[in-house]
Amino acid sequence: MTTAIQTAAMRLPYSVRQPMFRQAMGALYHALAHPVWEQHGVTDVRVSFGRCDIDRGRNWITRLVGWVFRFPPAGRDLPTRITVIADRGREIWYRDFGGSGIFTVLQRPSPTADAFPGRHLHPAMIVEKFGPVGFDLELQDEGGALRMLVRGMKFGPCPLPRWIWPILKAVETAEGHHFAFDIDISLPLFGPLIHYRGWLDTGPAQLPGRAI
Amino acid sequence: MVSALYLLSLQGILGAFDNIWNHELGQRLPYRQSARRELMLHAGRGMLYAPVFLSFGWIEWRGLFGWVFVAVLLAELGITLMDFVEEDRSRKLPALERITHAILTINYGAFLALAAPEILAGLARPTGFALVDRGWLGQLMIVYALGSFAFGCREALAARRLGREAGGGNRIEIVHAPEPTGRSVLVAGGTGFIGRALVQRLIERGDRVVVLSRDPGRAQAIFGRHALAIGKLEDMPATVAIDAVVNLAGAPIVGLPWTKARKRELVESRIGTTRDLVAWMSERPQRPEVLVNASAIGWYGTDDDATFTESAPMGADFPAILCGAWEREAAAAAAAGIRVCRLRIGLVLGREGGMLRSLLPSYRLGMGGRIGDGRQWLSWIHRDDVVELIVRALADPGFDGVLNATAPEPVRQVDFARVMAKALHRPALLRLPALPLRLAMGEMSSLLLEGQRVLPQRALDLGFVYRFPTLDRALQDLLSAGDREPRGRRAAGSAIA
Repeated sequence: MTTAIQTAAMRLPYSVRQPMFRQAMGALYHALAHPVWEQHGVTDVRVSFGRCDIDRGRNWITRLVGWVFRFPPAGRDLPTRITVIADRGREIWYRDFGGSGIFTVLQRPSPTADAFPGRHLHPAMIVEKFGPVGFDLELQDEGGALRMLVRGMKFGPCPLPRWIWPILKAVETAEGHHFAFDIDISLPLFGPLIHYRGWLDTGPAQLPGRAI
Repeated sequence: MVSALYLLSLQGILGAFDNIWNHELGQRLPYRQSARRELMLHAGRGMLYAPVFLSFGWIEWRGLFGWVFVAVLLAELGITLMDFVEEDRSRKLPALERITHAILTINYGAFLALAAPEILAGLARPTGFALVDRGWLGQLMIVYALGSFAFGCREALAARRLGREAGGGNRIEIVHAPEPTGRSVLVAGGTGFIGRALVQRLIERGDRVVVLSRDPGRAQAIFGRHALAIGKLEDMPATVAIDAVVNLAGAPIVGLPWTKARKRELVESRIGTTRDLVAWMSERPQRPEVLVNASAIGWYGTDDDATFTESAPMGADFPAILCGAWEREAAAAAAAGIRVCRLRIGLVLGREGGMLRSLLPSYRLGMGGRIGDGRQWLSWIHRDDVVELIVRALADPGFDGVLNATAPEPVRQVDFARVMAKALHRPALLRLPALPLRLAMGEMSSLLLEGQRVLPQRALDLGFVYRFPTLDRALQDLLSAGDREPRGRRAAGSAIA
């Protein structure tokens, strides 16, 4: 019995698990505003509620791309729910904007995959996947705000040329005690694809490691 | 005609997928009161499809008989159209189901177009029928006919059961205690496997009970005038002061594979309800004293050798993070001065549902046995003991924080199989290897192939006495009690409605 209980105690304690963004950003993570690192400090599950506005591109190419990626329709003051599930080294993000939702999966880049020259100079990287399409995102702290820049794009394992990469202006910051986001994505040559901005109440703080 | 039969084969495959994936696993139609009419339509169509499959595979109807067959086809079309209307009236179809139905409709139309010349040619012949040889397609049509008939029966029986529930025929029998306690309890998820027994127990001991359910009509049909059923917290009458809350709500973890969408549903059905409950409790002018919140032993993760008491660290797999988040939401109620008891519930054994009901058919056929290597622990508990733990937690201030709701003697799966087979006087010779289960169920196979040895240290320290501390006693009670009256812990209750 003693051995068995020791085995249990040797399991990785909940409290020492690190959120994926903490692993990616290292010390920079703590420079982020509190609501930002809280929203990205998920070690199990987080469901956050808020509101947002959405604008969509109007030409047929951006509409088609938006339909393929199942982006939500345009709207104002939409009820918003973000569910994040930290699962097996990755984060499943489900964004529900007024009843219309999209899944993406965030994960750390493979340490062996380095298809993009110079990427090793930017260790604060994550990969966001929309189905088979993945985006390499560099994470930057900008006075407490989190800024994300596209540093690569792949379809499955195949890198895609730079001219096809979307233009991303993504800033997450604090608005009072709320987590505020402003994500503007455009396509080269074809213009605005989707622009969503709003806020989230990040919910109750996580439990310490031992539950009693 | 062969081309038409290929399309009919595709129809059979798509129909089976639609029934199993969309209706049974996804939407759980046989358990929805609101889906009763739809089930009746499906049952009728299933019964009609069976002779249609058989006919196209084996028989050519001629003359007047041919007109009867055409009438059957038209009746099937009529039912399908009524089904479209009923589906849109009673529920929001998920995208996959909508697409499946569209493909089924297109495919069936194409099939009828291809089969029409032969059907019409038969009408012009003298009345009678002729056997035809369609080769392997004929054999396949027999399989489809049997499957269609089986689904039809399944749906007809489900509709009949739901009808009984709606009419009060499935209503629980309650014997009131002489004196009400004067305590009001809100039970979220009160129509589930544990919730239903708990509500009955609370009413019988004299509590006033409000059931919060996604399907308040079904809840009211089950509990009748003994409890008030509501669908939303806003529907709670202002005059009712709630003294205690039990939260058992959450989508069943066993069912569809744990895809991204399924994981989201499992998370949101627990987190959303719990957060709403905690916010509602905190805002009440007269706050409830206690929240008893369900969690599960999945919190600990899985391990073949370790023993977990309440002080063990949290696991790392999906059930663990799900339970962790669920408990965190519930724990937030403590900030409002509410005592919070989080029960990590094990595998609950009861006659009306849960693991036992799933296992019984195969064990009764002598097809029970080892799953995987059989070393995985099953930390089980009798449903009556879970209910008593909750009742005790509502009343005893010592029940605070986390408690494991498991029996004190967990067993390995291979031993569970042996005891179960012995109780049923059957062999347990079957070996179910791990690989096909992992391939078929994916990550969810961990529920069958992995386990955890969980001990109810705190419940024992608090002096809780188990009625069924050993598996022998629990199974003896459950397997020999088919026709027995429900155990009487007779106490009074008063209707809150």
